[in-house]
Amino acid sequence: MQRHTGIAPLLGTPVSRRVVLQGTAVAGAAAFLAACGGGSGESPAGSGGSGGSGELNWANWPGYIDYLDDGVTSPTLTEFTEKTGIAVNYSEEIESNEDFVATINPQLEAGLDTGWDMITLTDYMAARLIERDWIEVIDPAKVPNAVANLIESYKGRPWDPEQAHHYPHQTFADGVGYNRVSTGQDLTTSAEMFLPQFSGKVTMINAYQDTFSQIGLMLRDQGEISNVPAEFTNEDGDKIFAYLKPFVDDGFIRAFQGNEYIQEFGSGDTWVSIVWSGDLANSGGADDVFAYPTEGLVASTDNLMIPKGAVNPDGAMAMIDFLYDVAIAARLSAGIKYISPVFGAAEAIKDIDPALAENPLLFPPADVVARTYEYPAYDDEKDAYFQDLIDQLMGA
Amino acid sequence: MIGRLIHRYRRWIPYLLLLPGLLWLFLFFVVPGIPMFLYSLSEGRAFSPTFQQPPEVWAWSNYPDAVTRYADNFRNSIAYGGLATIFTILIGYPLAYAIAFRGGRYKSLLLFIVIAPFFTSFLIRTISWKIILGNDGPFLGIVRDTLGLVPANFSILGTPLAVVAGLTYEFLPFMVLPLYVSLEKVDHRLIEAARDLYAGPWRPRGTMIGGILGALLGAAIVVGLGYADVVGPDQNLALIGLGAAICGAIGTLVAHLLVTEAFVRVTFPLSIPGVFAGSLLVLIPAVGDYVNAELLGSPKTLMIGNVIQGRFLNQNDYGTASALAFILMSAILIAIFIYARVLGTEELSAGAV
Amino acid sequence: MSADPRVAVAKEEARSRRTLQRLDSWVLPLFTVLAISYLLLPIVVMIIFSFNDPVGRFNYQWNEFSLEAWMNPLARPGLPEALLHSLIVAIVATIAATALGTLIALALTRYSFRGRSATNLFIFVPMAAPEIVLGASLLTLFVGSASLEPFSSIIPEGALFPLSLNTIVIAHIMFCISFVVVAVRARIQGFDTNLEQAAADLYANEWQAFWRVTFPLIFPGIMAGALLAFSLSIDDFIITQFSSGVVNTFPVWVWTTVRSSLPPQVNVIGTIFFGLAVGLVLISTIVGNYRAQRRLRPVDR
Repeated sequence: MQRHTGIAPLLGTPVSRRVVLQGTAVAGAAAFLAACGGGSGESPAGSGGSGGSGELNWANWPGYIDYLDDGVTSPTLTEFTEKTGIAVNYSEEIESNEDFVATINPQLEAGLDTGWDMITLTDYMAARLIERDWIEVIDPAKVPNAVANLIESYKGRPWDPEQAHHYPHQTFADGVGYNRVSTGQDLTTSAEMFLPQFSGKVTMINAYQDTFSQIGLMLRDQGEISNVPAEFTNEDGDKIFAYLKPFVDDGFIRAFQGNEYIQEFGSGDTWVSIVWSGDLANSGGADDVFAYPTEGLVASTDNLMIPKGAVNPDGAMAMIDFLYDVAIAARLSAGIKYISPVFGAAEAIKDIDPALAENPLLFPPADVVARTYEYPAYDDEKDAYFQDLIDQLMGA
Repeated sequence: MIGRLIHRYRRWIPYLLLLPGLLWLFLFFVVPGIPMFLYSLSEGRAFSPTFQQPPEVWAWSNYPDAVTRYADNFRNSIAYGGLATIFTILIGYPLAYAIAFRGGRYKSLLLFIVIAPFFTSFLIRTISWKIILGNDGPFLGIVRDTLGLVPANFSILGTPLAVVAGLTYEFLPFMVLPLYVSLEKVDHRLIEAARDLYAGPWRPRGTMIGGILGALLGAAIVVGLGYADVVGPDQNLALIGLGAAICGAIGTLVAHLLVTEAFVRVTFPLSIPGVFAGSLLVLIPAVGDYVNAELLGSPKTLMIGNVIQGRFLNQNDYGTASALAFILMSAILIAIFIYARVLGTEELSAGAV
Repeated sequence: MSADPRVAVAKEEARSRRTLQRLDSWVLPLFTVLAISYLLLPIVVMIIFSFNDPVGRFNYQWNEFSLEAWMNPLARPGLPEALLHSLIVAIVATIAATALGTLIALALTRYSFRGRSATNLFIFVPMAAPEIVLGASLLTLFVGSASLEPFSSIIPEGALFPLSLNTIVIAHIMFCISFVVVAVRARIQGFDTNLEQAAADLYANEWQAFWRVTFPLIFPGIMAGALLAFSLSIDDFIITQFSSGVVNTFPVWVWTTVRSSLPPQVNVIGTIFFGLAVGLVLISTIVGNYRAQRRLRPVDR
C-alpha cells in the first residue's frame, strides 16, 4: 500500500515516484541481502586497464575515498595509477550539489570543458544534468567490470534507463546524529530531536531533500502526512514548514548547515542533528553516534558521471571500471563506511574484516531497510516550492 | 627628459595614471556586470528551460519584490555592519594612535603583528574562536559554569553578538591600517604647538560630548544586537536606557580623564581621512558579508549576503540574487555619498566624492 | 596661599595636566596590549593546537603533545600544490593591484580633471559587490570569451579560458584594486603640497620631485594597501572557486578539507605564514635599528 521501497530498491530500482515499484520493501530488502550474499569473486574479462594516459581530474565529496590514517595515501587511487599509468588529480571540491554545479553551469551550457573529467553528484542532480544533455555517454565496452557488477536493483533509473550516462559511486542514508555525552541519553527517533532540553543545540541539513524528508516521515508516523518523501505534495511541505517554524523562531533549531555539523559536534555547540550516515562514523568523535530513526529515513546515491567536453573521458571510464572491481570496491567501502553498489563487494568486505559484517552503516539491518524511502527528486516547479520553504526557515 | 615630457603633457597625466587600473576594472568588473544586470531582470531559474531574460521579459518587479521580501535581512546587514564599524573604530583608533605615536622603532613590527593574523586562513581563525568561545570552551566554562553570570543554557554561537564579534575581528586591520597611515604623517611639532596653545584636558565640553556619544552608542548596541527583541517589548526601553547609561558613563570618564584638547583640535581633524577610509573599508565589505553570519549566526541573524548566496546557488534564482546585489551596491553608494558630505571638510568631500 | 585667582587656575590646570599625563602613560599602553592580545588570541590557540595529536579527524580538543604535524607539514593530499598556487596568486595579484591602485589614488588626489568625482565614487562599487556576484559574473565572462564570437577568435586560447591560475590572478587583481586606492588615498589626503612645491623648485622637474619627495611620503600608504591586498587574496574563497576550474588554492583546500577533517597541518601552515610575516619584519626592524645606531655613533677615524 505504501510505495516505500527499502534501501536496495531505492538505491537503485527502476523506481521513480511515478512508477509503481516492483517490489515491496521486504522483497527489496531480500533482493539486497541476497545480492550481498551472492557470488563474489567473479571478475569479468576487461581488466580495467584500458590503456589510458594523462591525468584524470575527479571532483568528489569529502569522505568518499579511502585515505589511510596518514591522510595522504589512498590505496584505491595509488593502485589505479600503478595499473593504468593515469595520474589522478583527486579533489574533494563538492560540498553541495548546487554549489558545485553553479561553478560549472556556464561551461556546460556553452558546451565547453569544465576542467573535470569525472564528477560525483546525487541522484536528483544527476537526473537534472542528464536531462539537459550535459553528460557524456559511457561506452559499455570500456567499463566491462561496471556492466557486469552493478547490482541489479540499481539499474534502470528512470532518468537513465539504459545506464548510458552514470554509474553509482556510493549510497548514503540520512539519520539522527547525536553526541551521547552532551545529550546524556541515546536517541532512536526523529521526534526525540525536539526534546526541550536540547534547545539551541539542534541543527538540520540545509537541503530540503534531507531535512523535509526526515521531518516529513516523522509527521507521517504521527499521522499528519500520508505521503512518502518522494511524493510529498506542496501541502505536505507546508505542514512540515509549519511544524519547524516555531522551533526556528524560538531558537530551538540553531542552524541549517552542510557537513559543518561535524565540527560543531566537536566544539560541543551541536548536540543533535540530521546527518548523513557515513559522516560521523568517518569523522566524528568517539561519542558521536548515528541512529536510523524509527519513523523512517531516506537514502540516495551519489553517481559517477563524465561531463560533456571532458578532456579525458577514457581515463574516467577506466576509473569507473576500476572502481567496479569487486576487491577494490570492497576495500573502498570498508574504508569509508558507505554502501557499495558493486555486486559481491558486501561479501568481500566481510572477508576483509569480519567485524564489519556487524556494522549497521555498511549492512543496514532488515528493519531499517524496510523503513527506508526514496530520496526526493522533484520537478523544477516543486523543487522551487520546497527550496523556497526551507529558505524561509533558514532566514534567507 | 621625462620631466620635460611630463611638463608638456601635464593635462593628460591624470588620465594616464587612471588608465591601466580603470581599464582592468572595466574589463573584469563592468563588462561582466552587464549580463548580471540582464539577469536581474530575468524570470525563472537560470540554466533551466523556464528561464527568460531580456529582451524576452523585463522583470523590473524583481527589485521591489526583493526589497519587501528581504527587508529583515537588509536590516540585519545594516545593523551588524554598522556595529562592526563602530567597534573597529573604538578598538582600532587607540591602537593605531599608540602604534603611530608611541611605536618608536617598533612601529612596523607592531603594525605587522596587527595584520599577520590575517595571513592565516579565515577558517582557522574562526575555528580557534570556536575553541575559545564554544559551548565546551574556556570562556563559557568560566563565565557561565563557574561564575554563573549567564543562564545555564546560554551559548554564544548563534547570537547576533557572535556575528558582530566575528565581523569586528575580521575587519579590524581594514580600520587600523588606514588610520595608522593617516596618523603617522601628523607632524609631531604641530601637536607640541597645540599643547602649548590649548592647555590640557578637554573639559568641561568634552566630558559632556563624551557622555552623550557614549549614551548614543550604548543605545545603538542594545538595539542593533536585538537584545530588545529578546526580552520583549515591555523591557525594551529599560534595556536601551541601561545600555545608554552604562556606555554614557564610560564615555564621560574617557573624555574627562583621557582626551586632551590638543588631540581634539589638531590630531583628530588630521586623521579624518583615515577614519573615513577605514570606516568605508570596514562598513562596505561587512554589510555585504555572508560568511560570519553563516558560520556563527542562526536563521534569525542572516544578512543580505547570505540571501544572495542562497538565491544564486540553491535556487539558481539569478533574477532575485542579482537584483539584490544591485540594490545593495546602490544603497552603499548613496550612503558613501552622504557620509562624505557629512564628514567631509571642503577638501575631503572634494577628494573623496 | 595666593589670593590671585589666576594662579589658582594655573595650578589647577597644571595639576590636571599632570593627572592626564600620568593616566596617559599607562592607559594607552595597557589598551594596546589588550587589543593586540585580542588580535593574537586565536593565533595563539592555532599555534598551540598545531602541536596537538588529535583523537579523531578534527583538531578540536587537546589530546597530547606531538611534533608529528611539524615533521610533515605538507603531508596532506593536494596541500603543497594548493599552497604554491595561493602564494603565486597572492604575490602577483598584490604587486599588480598595488601598482594599479596607487596610480589611481595619485590621479584622484593630485590632479583635478573631468570625471574625477565620478571616478571617486566608482572606486567603491567593486568593494560593495557581493563576492558571489563577482564570482559568477566573472565566470560568465570567462566562458563567454571562449564560446561567443567574435571574442573566441580574438582572445588567445588559455588567456581567459580554460580556467587556470591566470583567471584567478585576474579576478584577485580586480577585487583588490579598490582597497589599495582607498588605503593610499588616506595617506595622500591632507598632505602639505608645499613640500612638493618646494621639491619641484629644487629638483626642477616633477618626475624627480615625485621620486625624491612624494613617493617616500606616501610609501606607508602603499605598504598598507599592499598588505590589505595580500591578506584579501591569500584568504579569498568564493571568487576563487568560480575562477579556478580544477586548480586548488589554499583557502579552497581548507574549506573543502574541513568538511571531513581538520588536520593539525592546517594549523602548522597558518603558523608558518604568521611566523614568516612577523619574522621578516622583526629582522628588518633589528637590522634597521642596528644601522641607525651605527649611523649615530661618532665616526672613529
